[in-house]
Amino acid sequence: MIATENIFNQISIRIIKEQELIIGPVAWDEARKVRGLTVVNTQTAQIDINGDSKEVIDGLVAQYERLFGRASHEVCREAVHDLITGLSPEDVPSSLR
Amino acid sequence: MSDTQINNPSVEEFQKATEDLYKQNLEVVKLNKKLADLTHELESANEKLKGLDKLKTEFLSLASHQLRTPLTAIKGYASMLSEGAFGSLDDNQNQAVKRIYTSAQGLVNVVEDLLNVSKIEQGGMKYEFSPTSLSAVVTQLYGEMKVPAESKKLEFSLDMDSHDAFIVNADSVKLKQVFLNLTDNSIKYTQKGFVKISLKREGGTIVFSVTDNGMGISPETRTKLFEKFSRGEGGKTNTGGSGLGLYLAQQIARAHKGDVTIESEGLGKGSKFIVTLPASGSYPN
Repeated sequence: MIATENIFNQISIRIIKEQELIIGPVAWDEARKVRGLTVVNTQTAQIDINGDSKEVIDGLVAQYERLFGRASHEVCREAVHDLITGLSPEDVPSSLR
Repeated sequence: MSDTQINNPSVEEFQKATEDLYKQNLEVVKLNKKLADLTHELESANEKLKGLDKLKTEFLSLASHQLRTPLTAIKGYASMLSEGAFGSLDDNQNQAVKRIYTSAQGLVNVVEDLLNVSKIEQGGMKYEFSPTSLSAVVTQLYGEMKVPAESKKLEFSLDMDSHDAFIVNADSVKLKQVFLNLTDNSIKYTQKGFVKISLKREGGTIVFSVTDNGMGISPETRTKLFEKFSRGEGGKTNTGGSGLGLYLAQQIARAHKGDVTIESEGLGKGSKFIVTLPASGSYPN
């Protein structure tokens, strides 16, 4: 269980960092607005997830999509492609399927 | 109230603009990634090339050494045969032996060029600088090159102020090799007409030049002539040579704080090879 939680953490960080490449520090500002996600340190890319990890990730993807459209959703999916292959289908957040 | 109406963008327009900007940024990021990948590929290719170049230089050096020994023996025995050390030879045999000697000498020259390139590239070319009279070097050169020039029925002349010794601090052996190489090239690539050697003083510079009315050099070829294994227009004919002579000449001249340049008005219009050397000032020790 701990390992899976760790993967969700990695997925979230990967998404934020990939968005940061495109939109800069705004990516972290937007991540802060997601319910259940706490940005601990942007320099060391540390976050905390509280609650349902899959819902938090869905919320993160939606947050970017709301502002930047469909293209940002695709960026999220591509960014974590290698990470979600290790998850069972039911563990994959719906936004990344 | 101002009369000017400001058209505030609608939420939809603002959203569309943001999304477009995002897409543009995304393209930039993708391009940057591609550029980074290409840079990385180029860097590793460059590293591989450097390794190969070093290997090639080492190979050239080794191969040249291995070739030089048997060539010396071939030349030596051909010379002894020619001089009758193993009995007298008839005309045909004598001519055959001379061809063996000349061909071996041609190969020795190529091997020497390769060895010199290896030395230059490995930073191992040693120069022995001492006060040198260029007028003596050029007079000697003129005497040596008169035979091949006249055997081609070329008008061969020397223009030099005999009252000036043209003293420079130089490695006389290497510098003579440069002059010899340029003169030999001119004679080789001039079928009819003249080859003129000149040694002059122009201010603080001593200028050695070889002018001919031979096949000339096109502007495209001129820019590449000082590259290794480069061939001029004459390289297309069967005149031999390693394609290293001009590269070596320039490297040696530069080691003397001088240079080698070419002037030619084009194909069929002759050419002029110029070596400039500082007449005074600081020299490499």
